[in-house]
Amino acid sequence: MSTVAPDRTAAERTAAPEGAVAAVRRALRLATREERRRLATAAGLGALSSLAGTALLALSGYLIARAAEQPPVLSLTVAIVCVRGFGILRAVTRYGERLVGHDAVLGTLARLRASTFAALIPRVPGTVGGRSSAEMLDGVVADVDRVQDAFLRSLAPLAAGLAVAVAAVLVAAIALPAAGAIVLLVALLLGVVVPAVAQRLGRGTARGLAQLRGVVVRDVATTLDAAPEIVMSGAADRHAAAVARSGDALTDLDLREATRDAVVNGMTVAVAGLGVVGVLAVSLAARADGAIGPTTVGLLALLALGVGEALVGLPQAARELHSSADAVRRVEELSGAAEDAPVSETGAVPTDGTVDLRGVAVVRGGRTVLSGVDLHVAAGERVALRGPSGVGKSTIADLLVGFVAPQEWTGHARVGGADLRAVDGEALRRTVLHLPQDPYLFDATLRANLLLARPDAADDELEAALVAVGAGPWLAGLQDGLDTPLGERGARCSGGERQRVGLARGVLARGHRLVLLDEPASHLPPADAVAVLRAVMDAAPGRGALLVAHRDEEAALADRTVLLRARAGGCGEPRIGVGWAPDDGVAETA
Amino acid sequence: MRLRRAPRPDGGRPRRGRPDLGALAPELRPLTRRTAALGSAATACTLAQALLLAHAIALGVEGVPDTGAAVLTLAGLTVAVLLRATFGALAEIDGRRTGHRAVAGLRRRIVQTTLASASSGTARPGALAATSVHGAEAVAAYAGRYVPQRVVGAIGPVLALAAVVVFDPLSAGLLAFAVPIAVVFLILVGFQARDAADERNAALGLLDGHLLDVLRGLPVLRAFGREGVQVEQIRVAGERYRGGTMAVLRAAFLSGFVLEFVAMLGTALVAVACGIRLAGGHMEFGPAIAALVLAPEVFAPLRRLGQEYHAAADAEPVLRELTAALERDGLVPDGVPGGPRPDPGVAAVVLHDVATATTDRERPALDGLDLEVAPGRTLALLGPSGSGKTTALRLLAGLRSPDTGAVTCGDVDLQGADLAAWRAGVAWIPQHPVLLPGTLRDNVLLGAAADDDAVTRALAEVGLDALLRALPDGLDARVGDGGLPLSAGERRRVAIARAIVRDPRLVLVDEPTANLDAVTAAEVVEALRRLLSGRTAVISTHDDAPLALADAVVVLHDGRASADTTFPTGARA
Repeated sequence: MSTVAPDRTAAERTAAPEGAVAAVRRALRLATREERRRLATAAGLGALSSLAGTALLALSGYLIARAAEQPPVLSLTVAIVCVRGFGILRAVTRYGERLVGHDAVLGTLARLRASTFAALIPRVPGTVGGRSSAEMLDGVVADVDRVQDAFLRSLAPLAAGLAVAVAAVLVAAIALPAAGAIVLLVALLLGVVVPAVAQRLGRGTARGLAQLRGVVVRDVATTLDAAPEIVMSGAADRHAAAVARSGDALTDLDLREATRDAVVNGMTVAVAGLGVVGVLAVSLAARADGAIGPTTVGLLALLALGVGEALVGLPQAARELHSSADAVRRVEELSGAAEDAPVSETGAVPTDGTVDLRGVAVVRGGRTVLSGVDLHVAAGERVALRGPSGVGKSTIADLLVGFVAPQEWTGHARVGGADLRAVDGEALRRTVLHLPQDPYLFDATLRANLLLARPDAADDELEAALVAVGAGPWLAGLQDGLDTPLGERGARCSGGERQRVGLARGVLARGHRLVLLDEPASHLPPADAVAVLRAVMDAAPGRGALLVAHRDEEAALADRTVLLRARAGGCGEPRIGVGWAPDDGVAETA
Repeated sequence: MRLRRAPRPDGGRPRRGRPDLGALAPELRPLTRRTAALGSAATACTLAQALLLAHAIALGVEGVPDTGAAVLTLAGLTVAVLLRATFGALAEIDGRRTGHRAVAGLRRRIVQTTLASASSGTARPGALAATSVHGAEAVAAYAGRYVPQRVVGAIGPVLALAAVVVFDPLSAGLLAFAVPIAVVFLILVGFQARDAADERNAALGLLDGHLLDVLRGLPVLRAFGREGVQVEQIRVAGERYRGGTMAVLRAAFLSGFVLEFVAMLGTALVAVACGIRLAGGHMEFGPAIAALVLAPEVFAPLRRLGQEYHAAADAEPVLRELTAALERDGLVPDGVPGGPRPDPGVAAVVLHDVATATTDRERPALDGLDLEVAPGRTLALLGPSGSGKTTALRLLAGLRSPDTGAVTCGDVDLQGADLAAWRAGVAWIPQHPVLLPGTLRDNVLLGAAADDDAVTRALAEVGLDALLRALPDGLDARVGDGGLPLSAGERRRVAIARAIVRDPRLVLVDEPTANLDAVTAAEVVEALRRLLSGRTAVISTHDDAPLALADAVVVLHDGRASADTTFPTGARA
C-alpha cells in the first residue's frame, strides 16, 4: 500500500464512498418535513413488524420450555396470547409498512420530478447544450427513479434492522450478558463488516464495469445502426471481433462481480447461522453452570434464530444505500442549484421589438461562435440575414431570446431598450418569438402541439393556422385530424410536416413584437417556403421579423437585407473563431 | 437493480404461470439440473440445521446438558450452517454466472446475425444495445436467486412436513392443512406481483417518457412561456400515478399479508398444540421443540420464493426483447466464391422482373421491378419511403438475393457470381453514415488500405479540407462519440470520402439529402458530383435535390417502376 503513488490515493479518496450516515442524511434531505414524517411512520411500522417477528420466536421458545415444566395450563395463557398477538402484529404492520412506505415514496417522486424539471428550466437550453444534453436528460430521469430505491430498499430495512438489533441485544444481555455480546457481534458483522467487505471487494471493479458497459452499449448500438455499411466496407469480421473483445472483457468483470455478490450472500447466511450456534454455546454452558434456567435457554435460542432472520437483509440494504447514493447526490445537487439560480425574472422589460447589438461576441464551450457582431432592427422592421451556413446565426437567435448565459457573451446587446444582461427572461420571450429550423414536437396530439402557442385558441383557429402554412392537405389527410398523435419527437411527421407545425405555432402566437425565423421552412419546397414565411410574418400586424434567408426570393420578403460574411483571413479555421461583420455588405431593399 | 421501462417487443402481456425462461434463452437450460442438486443439498442442510437446533435446545431444557453431547451437537450445527451457506452460495454463483453468460451469448448472437444479414433499420438501436448490457443484471438475479429458490420452494415444504410427521403427526396434520392455503396465496402473490410490476413499469414508463419529452422540449416551452404550467402538470401526473399504483399495490400486498398470516397461524397452532400437550405431560419435549422449529421451515421457502418473484418478472422482458432481435432477414448471400467477377464499371447492371417478400410487411417490397443501370451513368430512384428503394439498393449491393427474377451484370447472374468480390467493388453511402469511435483517418478508411495523401485528397474532394486544417491533430483527431462532433452534412461528406478512397466500380447512395437544409444539401450534392463523375451509380431519394446528378430517373411506387417514368434529365449530358 505504501508504494501507491500519491496522486492515485488522492483520486481514490475523492472517489471514496461517503459514510453510511452521510448517505442516509443526504437521502432524507431530499424529502420534505411532511414526507420525512410519513417515511418515519413506514420505517416505524417496519421496525415494529421485525420486532414482533423476533419476539414471536423468542416467546415461542420460552413458552415451549416453560410448558415442559408442566405448570398449570392457565399460567401459559398470557404467553400464548402474546405469541398470537405478535404473529398478527407482525403481518399487519408489514402490510402497513409497505402501503405507507410506497405511498410516501410515490408522493416524493411526484414532487421530485416536478422540482427537477423546474430546476432544469433555466438550464435548457444553455449550459446543458451540445450533443450530450439528451443523454444528460436521460440520466436525470433515471436518477429520479433511483431515489425510490434509497428509501424503500435501503432506509426502511436499515431502520428495521437497527430496531431489532438494539432490542435483541438488550433482551439477550439481560438474560445472559455473554449472549447479548454475541447478538451484538452478529448485528455488527451483518450491519457493518459484511457490507464493508462487499464494498471493498467491489471497489476495483465498479468503475471499470460502468466504463466497459458504456463501451459495449456503444459498440452494439453501432452494429445495429450501421450493419450494411460495415458489411459493404468489408469490415464485418474485424468489427465483430472488436465487439466480441469488449463484450468478453465485460462478461469477465460481470462474472467476477456475480461471484462476489453470491459469496457475500453466503457469508450473510453463515454469519446469521453461526450467531445461533454461538448463543446456544454460551446458553448451554451457562445452563451447565446453573446460571440460567431451561426457559432462558429456549428464549435465547429462538431469539438468536429470529435476530438472524431479521438482520439477514442488512448487507443488501447497505449495498442499495451505497449504489443509489450517486443518483441521490445528483438529484440533490440539481434541486439545490435551482434555489441558488439567479432570479432574472425581476429584470428590465423590453418595450418593443427593436434590436441593438454592438460588438457582440459569444464563446461557448471554449469555442468562439460569434465575434464582432453589430446588428440593428427597428420596431416592426423586417430584416433578412444572409451569409454562409454554420456561422452562428442560431446563436444570435439564442442570444435574443435569452438562451445564452451571461458569462458566455460580451459586448452590448439590447432588445426593446432592455439590456440583455438585466432583462426579465420571461418578458423577453413574450417580446421575441424564436421559430427554429428543427421545432420540437411533443409526444402528444397535433392539437396539444399547437395549443402550446395559444392555449385559448379554438379548433378552427388551429386549422386556419395549419392551412396558412400550407399544411391544409396534410391535415385533411389525417384521419383523426387535430387529435392525431404525432409520436415521440414528432416521429410520425416528415421533416416538412414538422416544420409546418412549428410555423403554425408562429402564426398562432400573439403578443410578440419580433419573430426570429431561423430557417424554419428549409425542408419545404422553395415556392411553398416563400408563401409560408410571408404568412407567418403577416400573421401578427406590426410584428417585426429577423429572417435567416438563403435564397433571393426569401430575402425579398424583408425590408432590408444584411449580408453576413465570414471574416477574411480567418486563418483557415472556419469552425473555430469564425467572425463576420454584418452591415459591411450591400444593404438591399426589397 | 430493477429494469424499468423495458419494452415488451411482442406488445402482448406475458403468459401467466411460472416463468421458465429456458425457452427464451437455451443457455439457461442446463442451469436447472445443477441448481436442483445444489438446492436440494441446501434444503437438506436447512432441515439438518433445524433438527440439530431443536436437539441442542432439548439438551438445555430437559436437564443439565452433558458437555460432550452439547459440543457434538453444536459442531454438527456449525457444519450444517456452513454447508447450507456454501451450497446456497454455489447455487447463486452458478446461476448468476449462467445468467450473465446467457445475456452475453444473446448479445454476441445479435451482433453476429445483424452482421451476417447486414440488417438495417432496428427501430431503437440504442435501447436494444442498452438492454443487451444492462439487462444482464436482471437475468443473473433470476438465474441466481429465483431459480434455486424455486427448487427449494418445491422440495423444502415437503421435506419439512415429512420430518414433522416423524416427530409429531398431529402438528403435521395442522400444517398440512395450512400449506395448501399458503401455496394458493403464493401463486396469487406471484400473479399480483407481476401485474403490479407491469402496471408500475407501464405507468413509470409513461411518466419517464413524459418527463423526458418536456425536458427535451424545454426550449419550445420556454419560447412560448409554457414552462411554468408544465411543472404543475408533472406533479399532477405523478400524483395520478401514485393513486393508480397504490390501488394495484394494495391488492398485491394483501396477498402477501395473507401468506404471512397463514404461515404465522400454522406455526402458532403447532406451538399451542405442542405447548398444551407438553404442559399436560402428554408429550416429550424433544419432539415438541423439533416440530416447533421445523414448522416455520415449511413456510419459509414459499415466502422467500414470493420475495424473489420480481427477479423473474424483471428478467422475462429482457430476454424477450433480446430474443426478438435475433429474428432477422435472410443471410447475406455468398453467390459462388471463386465464380465470375462481372464489372459494373463496364457492363450494365440489370434487374429483371425482380420481386422480394418481406417478413414484416404484407405486400412485397419489390413487385416485378425492371431496371437498367448503364455503365458510367447515374440512375436516380425516386419515390416515397416504403416504395422499395432501399431493397433495390440492397439487391444491387449483393446484400440479398431476389425471391423471383434476377439481377445480372453483363451476362452474369449475380447469384452465380463471386458476391464477396462484387461487394468489395461497391461503395455504399447510407442515409445515416456511422462514425466509428476512432480517428478521422480510421473513419475515412473504414478498413480500406490507402495512404494519408489519399485520405487527405478524398477529404479535400468532399470539401472537408478546411475542417481538416482546423484540427490540431489532423487525421489523428478523434471523431464521433467522445471526440469532435460532426454535423449531419459533415458525416455524409465523410461517407462520400470513404467511397472515394475505395475507388468503387459501383456507387449506391441512399437518401443523400434527406433531412438536410437546402445549403447543406447543396454541399453534399456537390461532393457527390465529383465522386459520381464517370462512375456507375444509383441514388435513392424522395426529394429533388440529388436529381441534378442523375442521367436518368426511375419513379418507384409500391415496388414497381411507374410506367413511362424513365427519362433522361440531361443534367450531365
